[in-house]
Amino acid sequence: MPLPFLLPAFTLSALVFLAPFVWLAGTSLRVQAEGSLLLSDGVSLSNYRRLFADPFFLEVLLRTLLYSVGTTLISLLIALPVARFLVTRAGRMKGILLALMLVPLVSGALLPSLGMLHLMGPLGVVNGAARLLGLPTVKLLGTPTGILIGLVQSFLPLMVLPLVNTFARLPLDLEQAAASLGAPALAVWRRVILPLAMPGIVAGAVLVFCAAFTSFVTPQILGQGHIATFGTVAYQQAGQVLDWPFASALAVLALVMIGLLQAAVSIGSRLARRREVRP
Amino acid sequence: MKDYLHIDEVAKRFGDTEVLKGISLTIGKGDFVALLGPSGCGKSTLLKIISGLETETAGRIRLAGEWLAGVPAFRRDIGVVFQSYALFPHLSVAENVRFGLDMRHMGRAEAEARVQEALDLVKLDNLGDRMPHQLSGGQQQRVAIARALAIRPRLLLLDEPLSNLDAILRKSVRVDLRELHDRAGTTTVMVTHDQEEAMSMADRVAVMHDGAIEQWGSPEDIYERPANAFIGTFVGSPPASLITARRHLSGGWRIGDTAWTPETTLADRLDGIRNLEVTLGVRAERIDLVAPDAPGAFVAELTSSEYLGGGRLLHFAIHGQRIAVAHAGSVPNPGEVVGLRPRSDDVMLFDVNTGLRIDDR
Repeated sequence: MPLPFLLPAFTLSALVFLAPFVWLAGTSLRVQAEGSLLLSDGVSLSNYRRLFADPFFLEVLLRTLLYSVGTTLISLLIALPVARFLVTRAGRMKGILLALMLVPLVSGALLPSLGMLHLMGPLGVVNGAARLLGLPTVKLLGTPTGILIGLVQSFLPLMVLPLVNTFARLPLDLEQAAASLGAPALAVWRRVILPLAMPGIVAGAVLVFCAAFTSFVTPQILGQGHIATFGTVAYQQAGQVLDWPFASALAVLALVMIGLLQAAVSIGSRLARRREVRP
Repeated sequence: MKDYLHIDEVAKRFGDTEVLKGISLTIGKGDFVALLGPSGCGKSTLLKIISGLETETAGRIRLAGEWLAGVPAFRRDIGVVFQSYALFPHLSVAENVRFGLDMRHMGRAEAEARVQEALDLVKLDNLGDRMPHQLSGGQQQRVAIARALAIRPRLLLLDEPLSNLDAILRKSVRVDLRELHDRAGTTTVMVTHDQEEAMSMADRVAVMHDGAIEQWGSPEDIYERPANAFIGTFVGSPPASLITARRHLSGGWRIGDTAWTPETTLADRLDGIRNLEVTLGVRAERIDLVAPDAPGAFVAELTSSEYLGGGRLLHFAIHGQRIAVAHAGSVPNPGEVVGLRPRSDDVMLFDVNTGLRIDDR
């Protein structure tokens, strides 16, 4: 397509995505004047120095990474059989089930989190049922477990959708061929389905990881303010402490980490593809 | 071992549709058998049931003395070559062939020797490092066969093995596959809708139609003594032509409105069956062009002719019925009326209503 026709799209992208990011990156290099909300003159890396020097922020970073990896792995474990079922067994129900899967995604982060609040609270459904059955109650709100459950619940569709897509394109013949060659179900999964579904798994993992890493509402509500993650700390800094430069530095760090992850994935998959076309 | 594979009253229904109506078949060790039939006749379903990839609704199957009911596909030791070949796209040719050996936890050296042997057998010994998508269709098929044979299966199943190959390759692969079978000696069941494939490759052919076996015999049997008119017109190229003849009150026969006096041998056969009407099945190469008034001939009008290299295939019309004749001599002009005389011993007689063959020659 000739360049002039692409110009409006380029301009819009530049204005909406690039400009704020540049502004964000610029802000992260500034510092607030002592006792003031105004930015002092000059640029420095002091925000970043503070980020890496303060053990609190390193802990937050580490914790957020842990939650994101955990969310990704748990989502993958749940999504594999679910996506598989949707593709091979659901039949006419597939459309309805997929639509139901999408509900948490399209209803925003807030509503599902409030729902989870009712499920997991001390007087919520889970503990109510446990009490009725005479079982010990569990503290979920304000604990890592609660946040993890909430994150998985929010971002599971991001894993299921790409997997449904990949599974739908896997010919059934391949699995039958593997079975006829002596592969039990587990070996069929390990040797045939999973390797061939790898593009879908990677896509889903990247989506869930990024969503979990940058999530704010879920850890804020389900963490009850007891657990600091990247999202909640950035919100605190920008919305409550009003230290915009430092919040910007946090945001830039998150973006850089996500960028590094994407780069690693794309290099990895390019290497994998090279293996397939070797002479 | 005469009853190496024994299929006993195997039936399959999907909901209300009866795909297989109680199939029984006994196949000897080392045989090459074809299941031949039009699409939808249930032949592929039968193949899937034998391999364990589909479960029968009723009946049972015995392979090498072992009843297979409840034995999952991965424990049956039955090699399957799929119509799509189903090669694992993420594995090299050698890794594909190795797959079944890995599943059997075979040692490295032994497995490598077995892979080499299988690739040698299909003459692909130098392509082990290639990926499937780098191979031609014919090569992919041979990889699929090598992969199935590498596990030294008790039975080899081929699902429409030639349908994804181009016409030229098909003829040579037909010969290759048969030679491969003779070398490897594996009992083989092939599913095909192509009668030429079935007749040229198999020792025995099961002709299937509507979920049942209509005839089970050697290719010669099926060609010479088809069980019914459907098979008569389904096998052989060109297929047999069918003509209806009616007995006349005054003796003799009529085809349409034309009187016809068959030769004595044929007349005796026709008299033996007492039907008032009969369907004659006539093979194109077993009917002669003669003068219109020659004894035993009926008259027909030439409508068109095809040049086939070795001779011609002439198409005649006789009162709205069509008949094909293979002919090597001089060709009459279109529209010309000639005499056609079927060879008395080779005419097949079928019941007009049921289509069943009504005399044994």
